[in-house]
Parts: sequence; structure tokens; C-alpha cells
Amino acid sequence: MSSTRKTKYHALSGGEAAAQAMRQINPDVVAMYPITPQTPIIESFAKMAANGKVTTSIINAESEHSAMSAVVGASAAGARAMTATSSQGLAYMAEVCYIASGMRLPIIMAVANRSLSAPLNIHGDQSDAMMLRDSGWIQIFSENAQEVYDNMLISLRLAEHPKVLTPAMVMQDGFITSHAVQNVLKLDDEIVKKFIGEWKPLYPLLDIDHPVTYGGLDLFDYYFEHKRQQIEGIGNALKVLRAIDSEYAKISGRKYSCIEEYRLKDASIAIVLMGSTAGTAKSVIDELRKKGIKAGLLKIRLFRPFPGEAIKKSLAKIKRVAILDKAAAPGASGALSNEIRALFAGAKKSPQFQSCIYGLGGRDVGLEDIGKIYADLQKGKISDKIKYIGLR
Amino acid sequence: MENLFEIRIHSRGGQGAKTIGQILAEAGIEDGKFVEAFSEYGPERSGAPMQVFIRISSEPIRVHSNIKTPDMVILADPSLLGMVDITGGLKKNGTLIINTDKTLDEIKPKLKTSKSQKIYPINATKIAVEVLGKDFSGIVLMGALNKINPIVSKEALEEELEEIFARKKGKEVAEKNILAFRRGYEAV
Repeated sequence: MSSTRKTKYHALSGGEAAAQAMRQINPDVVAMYPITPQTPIIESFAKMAANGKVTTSIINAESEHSAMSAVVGASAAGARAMTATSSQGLAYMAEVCYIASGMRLPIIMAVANRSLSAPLNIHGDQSDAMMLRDSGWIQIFSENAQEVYDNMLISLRLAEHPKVLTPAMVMQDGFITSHAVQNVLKLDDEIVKKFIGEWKPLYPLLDIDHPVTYGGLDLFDYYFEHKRQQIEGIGNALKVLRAIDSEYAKISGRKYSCIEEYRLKDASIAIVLMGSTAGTAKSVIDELRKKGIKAGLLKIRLFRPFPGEAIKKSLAKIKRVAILDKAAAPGASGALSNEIRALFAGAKKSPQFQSCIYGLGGRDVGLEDIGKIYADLQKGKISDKIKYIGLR
Repeated sequence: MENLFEIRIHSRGGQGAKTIGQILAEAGIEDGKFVEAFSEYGPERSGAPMQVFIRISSEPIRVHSNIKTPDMVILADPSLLGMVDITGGLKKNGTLIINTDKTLDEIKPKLKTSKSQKIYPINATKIAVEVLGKDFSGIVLMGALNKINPIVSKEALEEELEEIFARKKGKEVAEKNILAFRRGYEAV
């Protein structure tokens, strides 16, 4: 780099940050199919592969369904396998996503979250992630490009942990994060190599001395037991993540947790959300705090498995809470809203909740929109009806 | 964040405004700043009006929404004058850099500016065509920006130009782009 360089930071978009993590992981197989706004991820990675920066076998699939099928095959064979997608691509993968998690294959998929058609829209919301919330994948959300990079490395360790063995999606908000150039710190290649370690698959299909079956017929005799084991596996991710996060903090100086509390300890009003809008909320909170208003934020980083206990504990003493879903569930409340409200069902003491939907199809949500939510919470303007933030 | 500086560029798809954002971001980071650069993508086609947003600060940048109250607005495409809301949200003491072949008195009626807002007209297209042989006026405008507000140092920007263009297009192209940048710097 140039001589004027006064910093360790790199200028990377969220997409490039994901690709940088992939370069350092150097997976055996990456299957790819382009879709906006994910394309910068595979585009950057393909360039790295072409320049000999990785030894990955790249499979240019003819569809997302095939891309996910290819990484399922590769992962079952014993390879470290990764892919990336968005929106319709994730929808098209859905069938195979359930197969990946059911077979307990620790595939890592970078997802640049985007709205679902129709109407056609290429911009960011989290509908695609919510569509697959019950697919048995770990779902981890990132606020900015730095978190994308860190979450990619952490989720690999988490997915491959023998007590977890569950595929993971690493989310970033489409365009807002995927296409925005930001300051990102990278770890040294050698440090990453040591952190992720060598992948030793437990039951590789290609180990012909120890033959195994993947995807066998499993009727009323054992399907239920296998599903129960799968539930146990993803559930273990909560505890395992804590250990991996601590280890990661030691090598990076960046300490993560399944949830992030921002000025929440003494807060009387709070917002709960996932993804890039967390930063906007933090800025609004700082301004409100200067005026003596006790506002806080709870950012959900890990949505699956759902860290219910931690969330319940952190919200228990808050008076009024707005839950922001960046995905609609037509005919019902948003997924995050439902999950959090359920935690307090039957509780003696519970915050008052306001369910909100925001940012659909990339609708810009700014400081004033978030400010208005806090103002309403402060005034006690709470209703059972869903509030639509920024809707005209 | 009092030290946050926000720039909005009005351009058309295919004119390289996104590249300006990228160069400013990379140079800003090399200069020890925190930056964010992104484009507002509507229908992605050449010639469609588009906006590029750039934030520069000495502190980490947390807000990622569109820039609504910029400190500086750059109009890269003269044909957008009077067509899109260029001055919308511009701060009271904000700055406008307008790529135009007209004089300040000629363009002023088309801009709803207050007295405290400064307007810098510059014929960036003419300079770009002269130096680069094509209307890559963004580089020239970046020079003007740097003169008006050296929030990212001249050295870092020139070094970044050198690096990006030498890598992609060779040393000769890099030198021409640095010259275009300097001509922009001197023109305001």
C-alpha cells in the first residue's frame, strides 16, 4: 500500500469484506450463482481465485438450487463448502437448505438480504432471511462491513463445532452494507488460519473405509429422533458461540455476543432490531441521552438459534419497547416481534411492546424516523396495531 | 458527531461518480479517517440520474442511511440542473460545486440557495475533455472539492489516483488523471 498510509483499516464494502473472509478461510469448494445485491461477494471471490489467492474449486452453477445442491454434495463428501445469495436466490435454494441442515452439513452462506418479489425490488430488507427462519440454519446478522467479516470467520467455527454441526447464514443488509465502502480491519492470514483450524469431517462420504449414508429414507421409525438431534445441535450453538466469541475477542480485540446492548442497563425505553439500522439507533440514543431521556437499544446478532433467555433478561426492566421487523409477515406480526412477545407471555412483569415494520424494499430509515419511534415510546403512545415506519 | 462531513453527488449512471466515492473513501481511510461511500441505485442503466453519498469523520461512522443534510453537494452532470433537487437539505453554511459552462450569475436563478451557502461553478467537463480526452469530469470536481475543503489530504488523493489508475490503466493514464485533478484544484 501507499506511503501515506496512516491506518490499519481497509476500504471494503460488506460484499468485499465477506469475500476477504472467504479468501482467508480458503474453502475447498465454493458454488456460485450471481444475484443482486450478493454479486460483489462472489465477484470478488472469483477474482481472488483467478489470481491464485485461494485453492478453492469454484463451481459456476446454473441456478441457486444447483449451487446449494453442489455445496451439499461437497460438504457431505468432507469438504469445506461455501456459497452466497440473496432474495429470490435464497427462495430458490430453500428446498435444498432444509436438506443441508437435516444432513448436519456445516456450510457457510453469505447472504446480502433483499426483499422478495412481487413487486420486483432489488433493495434491502430481511424478508429472505425470515422466509428461511425455520430451515434449521444458524442465522447471524451484521450491522456493518466489519461485523460481516468477523461473523464469517466466527460462524465457520460455530457451524463446524462437533456439538453443533449446523449450516450458517451470515447476513448483511443488501446495498446498505453490501455496497457501502467502509473501514474494515482484517486479521493476518496466519492468525485466521490458526483460528479456524483444519476441517476434520466426522463422517465424510468419501471415506470409503467407513461407509455412511446421507439422505436416506427415514420414515416414522427414526425421522422424529433425527429431527430432535438436529434441534439439539442448533440449540448447542448458543453456548458454543459464547466460547468462540471469547476466543475471537482475544485475537481481534472485538468482543461479540448473541445480543448487543447499547445503553440499555438503565434505559426506560428501547428499540430491538437486527442489522445496519442499529447504528442509526445508537446515534439517536446518544442525542436523547444528552437530553436526559433514558433510551437504549437491543441489537439481535443471533436470530437462530433464538437467544430467548438473554433477550428476556436484557429487556425485563425496560418500560416500553418497540420491536422493529425489517420483513412483513402478512396476516401476522413480524417474526422478531412474535418471538420477543412470546418470551414475556405469562410473565408477572413485562415491558409494553410496540410492533413495527420498517425498511421494506429498501425504504430509507433515517435518524428522524428512529427518533420518532423513541418519542412515541417516551410519550407512552403504544398500540396493539403494527406501526409502519416511513410508510407514505 | 460534529466532525462528520457529508457529501452528496448528483450524477448520471456511467459517468464515474461511484469511482469518485471509492477514491475519496480509500484516500480518506489512508489518511486515517473513517469513511463511508455508497450509491443510491435506482434502475441501473447508463444515463439514469443517480446519487452518490460520502461520509468522512474522525470517529467511526454508525449511521448508514441516505444523506439528507449534506455539507457539500456536487453536481457532476450539468443537464441535471433544474431537473433534480440539488440544494435539498443542504446545510445553511453548505457548499455547492456545479459542473457548468455558465457563470455564477447565469446559474444562480436556477438554484434555491441562501446567502450563507457558497456556490462554486467550474467547467469540469471542458477541463476533463482537454486533459483526459473524455468527460470523466468527476476527477476534476474532486480537485475542486479538495481545494474548497481538504478534509481528505491532497497527498492521499493524488496517491490514490496514482494507485488506482496505474494499476488499472497504466502510468500514463494515472498521470493524466492527476493532472485533471490538479486543474480542478486550481480552477476554483
